[in-house]
Amino acid sequence: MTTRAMRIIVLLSVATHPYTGRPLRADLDARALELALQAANAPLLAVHAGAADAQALHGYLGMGLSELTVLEAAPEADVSALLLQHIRAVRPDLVLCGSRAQAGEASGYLPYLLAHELGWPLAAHISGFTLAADEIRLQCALARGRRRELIVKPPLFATVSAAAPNARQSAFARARRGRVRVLPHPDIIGHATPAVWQVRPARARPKRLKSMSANLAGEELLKALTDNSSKGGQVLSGLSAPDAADRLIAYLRLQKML
Amino acid sequence: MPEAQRPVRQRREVGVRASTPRSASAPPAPMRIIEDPSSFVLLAPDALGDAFTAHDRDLFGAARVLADAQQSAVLAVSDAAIESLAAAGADRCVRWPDALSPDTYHPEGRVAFLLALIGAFDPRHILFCDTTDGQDLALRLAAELGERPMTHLSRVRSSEVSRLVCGETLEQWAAPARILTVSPGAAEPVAGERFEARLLTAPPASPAARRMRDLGIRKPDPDTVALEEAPFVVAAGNGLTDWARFAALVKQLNAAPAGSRVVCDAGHLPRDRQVGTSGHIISAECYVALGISGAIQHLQGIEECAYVIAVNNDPYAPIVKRADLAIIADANEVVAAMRERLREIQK
Repeated sequence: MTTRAMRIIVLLSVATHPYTGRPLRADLDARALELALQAANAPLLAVHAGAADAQALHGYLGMGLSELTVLEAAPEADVSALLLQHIRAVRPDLVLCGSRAQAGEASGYLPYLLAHELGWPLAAHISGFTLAADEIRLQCALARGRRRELIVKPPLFATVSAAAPNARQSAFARARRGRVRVLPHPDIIGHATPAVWQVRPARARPKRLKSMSANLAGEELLKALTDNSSKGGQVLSGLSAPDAADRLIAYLRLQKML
Repeated sequence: MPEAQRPVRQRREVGVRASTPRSASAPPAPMRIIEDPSSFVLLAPDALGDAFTAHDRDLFGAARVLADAQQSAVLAVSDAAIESLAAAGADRCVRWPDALSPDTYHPEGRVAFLLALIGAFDPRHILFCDTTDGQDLALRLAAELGERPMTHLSRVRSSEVSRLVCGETLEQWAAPARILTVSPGAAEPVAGERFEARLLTAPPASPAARRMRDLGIRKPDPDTVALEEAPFVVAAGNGLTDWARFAALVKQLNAAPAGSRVVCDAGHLPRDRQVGTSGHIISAECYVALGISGAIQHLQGIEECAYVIAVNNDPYAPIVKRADLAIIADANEVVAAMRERLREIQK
């Protein structure tokens, strides 16, 4: 049986720092790259669609990539069409990206759009994966540290969760050494959808105090809203150590922790 | 911390724990019936079974806001009891098909069913929670329909929806699109009213092929799970000296070990086990503080924990005020006694 090594593409985007506006590597995309780098001996391609001179891309190169492909796109171009064309040409087994960008609309829609166009299955919010002979085993991050195990036959799209391992630091020398290969696209394949959003400064909204029962009225409601004295719980003192242990275990049982 | 870095975390009901059950003597809330709706607002709560989360109730609130402005009816797809759907704010409801029971992982099948519902009822809006599962369904559906979704909405009003971007310094706003995912607190939950929650028959859905084989859910290893994700955390502070016993107890309880800043500084626990503002902000369901006095930085780290148990020999320690159960005793003795008891129980 001949098995060829699985090919992985990682889609990388550029984030902007929320306060300084400086371009950065996007955290979730960096985690996706980290997962791909950890999956040993799989040929790895890193792709960014957008401006070729983005300095933030060196943040990814510093993680240990020797080369990064940039699909050069004008700001008004639709990058999904470019990426789709590239993925179809390269025919990878697994495409990884962060579950949500940190720039633009940041809705997390792009991987779903691409997977739908390609007709591939998509596993969302993975925290790890392993490659087997002809299938990929994925761990999807659920709440409270639980993980759902999935087995999928490639080709496959996967988005990476914030529960995936932290991305390694970017090494300066490696970032300098890494090569950015630019594939220029003189003609725009598709135009980006015009933004529907209007922007205004965010105003702090009042925090919701408590979810009140609607039956309360007048004085009762005021008391319920302002009364914080009930915050403290049960205090037990003067117990012997075994008694204290019993009470503690009983309480843990009550909370279904034992 | 940017939005994307936040750990997956389930939101808890603020203030009053769980929904306050109405006392038997109180009259039932009046029922509003929408007999002949002009259109529908479809929503799929996160909870596939019976217990709605606080986030789900906000989702129902958002759906009501959008529906009431247009004399539409809220159509929920849920397996919850009719009573709780009526209280949450559903005018109509449909059940997930039998093949999609709550513990089934088959997002493609769920989307196929939602597409059938959309074909039958042509809803003006389709709403989901912006949790991992809700977001996943919404984006799958959006890709199928070829419509751009509006996600992570922090506020839903009938004429405009808005979301916070750029480190919550800017707000984007627009008229609501068809597919929306809402954040907790985007709208007020329904209160003081009941709705009909009339059960409608679901249209037949074309079956979707299972392309992802589900091997089930694995519980986290408490020793290696990130503290933010751990459901049960046992932490030690300066009042604890017997570290071998502490480690053994944590293992017996199957809990994640943690510590205050002082013990991590002293090297008794690694730095990534530190709870507090300069360590991890955790949201465990149950937190046991052994010999921790509860400095303000530590209390900030456990603000989102549901239940806090404290063992401390100082009755005036700040942690005692925060704790749901405080035991005034020496932490080392209690740890030793708990080890004994648990060993007896295991026998």
